[in-house]
Amino acid sequence: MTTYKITSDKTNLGKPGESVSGDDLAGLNVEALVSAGHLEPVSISRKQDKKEQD
Amino acid sequence: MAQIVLTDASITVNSVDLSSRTNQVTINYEKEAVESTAFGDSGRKFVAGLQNVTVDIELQQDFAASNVEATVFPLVGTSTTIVIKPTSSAVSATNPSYTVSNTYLATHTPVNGQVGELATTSLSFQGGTLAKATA
Repeated sequence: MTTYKITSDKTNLGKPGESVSGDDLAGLNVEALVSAGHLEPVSISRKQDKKEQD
Repeated sequence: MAQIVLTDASITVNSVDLSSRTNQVTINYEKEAVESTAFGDSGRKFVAGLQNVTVDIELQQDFAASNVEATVFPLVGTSTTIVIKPTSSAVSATNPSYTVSNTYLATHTPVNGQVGELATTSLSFQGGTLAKATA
């Protein structure tokens, strides 16, 4: 499931810097929120994180 | 309960609070009248059909980052959720919230106005399902 970071102070999803995902975004047009600069997708690659730790 | 003058209505479009750029909002809530008149009736009868909801919002245009134009333009031709309250206070019996889910934005006027006037945009949302909450 994709996680998004809040990047504007105009959305009621939370404060800038906080993360939202799944149920938080039900019924919303996520693409439009990203396009408008309210959200930013957060890519999480666990394999890559593990390699970096090794 | 006293009458209310709208001075602090809360308008949230796709989770974005656009209240400070809005000066007019109208929710039209209708349940279509489906005729159920049958032989033997002395007058026409109706039962409730589908909801027919439209929401019209007048916005003061703002091209700044993450503001009106940035928020609205990508929504044209798509569906989203709108939440409207008479005031910005918490939801209560005297300040109900009206949530319109899966409503389609058909119209947006990115550049609209006359010389010397404030630039505005008129949004017209169609369809969806309206739910009223008082808590």
